[in-house]
Amino acid sequence: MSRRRVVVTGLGATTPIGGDVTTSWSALLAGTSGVRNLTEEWAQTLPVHFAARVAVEPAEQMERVELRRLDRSEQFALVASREAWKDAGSPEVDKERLGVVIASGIGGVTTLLDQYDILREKGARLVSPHTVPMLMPNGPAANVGLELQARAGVHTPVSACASGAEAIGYALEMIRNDRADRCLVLRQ
Amino acid sequence: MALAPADVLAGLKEIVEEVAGIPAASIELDKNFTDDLEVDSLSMVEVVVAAEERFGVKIPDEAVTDLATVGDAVNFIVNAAK
Repeated sequence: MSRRRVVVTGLGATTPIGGDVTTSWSALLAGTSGVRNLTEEWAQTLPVHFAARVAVEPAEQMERVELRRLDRSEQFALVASREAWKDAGSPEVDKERLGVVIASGIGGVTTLLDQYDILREKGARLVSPHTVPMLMPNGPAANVGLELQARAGVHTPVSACASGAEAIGYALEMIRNDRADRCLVLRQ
Repeated sequence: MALAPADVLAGLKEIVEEVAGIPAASIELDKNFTDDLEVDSLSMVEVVVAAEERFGVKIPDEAVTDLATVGDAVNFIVNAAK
């Protein structure tokens, strides 16, 4: 493997303290907390009533039809990847040399739970045909890969809290092993 | 329960718009779901299930492959509801 130097050319993020990199970074420097109370009825039966949810819902950043086919984990990935790609200058690249590596802790767990409820309450016929592509852990990477038409490789490390670091390392190796010239990397 | 073709078409337009994001105004009887409206196979399953719920009919999986156009679907639903 070569020791080719690899640099970051663009950034993207959607976080509990901002819907993009600039807002998140400013809020971070200002010491803003992203933790908020959960006021929804479903949360009242839980022992904990606070969480760090995203500051900007994907519904404010994406089209309705796109939203309904994507798990939240995939929506977040597309929001952040679009910002990163734009920040990198939306480069013209050889798709055969473009990789995507997006780490995931679990995948589309909300889809899994929602569709299981539908299966129990309404039967198999009404379970969404999009269930598997929405719940699979590599769904975020798959959707970003399709959008960018990345064909050097689309991968998803799943290794708990180490997933993000592993994604960065995997993309670095893809470039150093001459599989790709560029990679879009995200962690969730 | 008999259904009027115009009512079925209007309902199908709403369903296809909701599922696939295609403007209702561009959905006409002679439009092919795949070639003209670009409804993919997974979305077609959603359209079929939503149509079954809305019109109270059964659309067997083996019949779906014959529903090439919006008009085919309207005819099938109207006949199934008789």
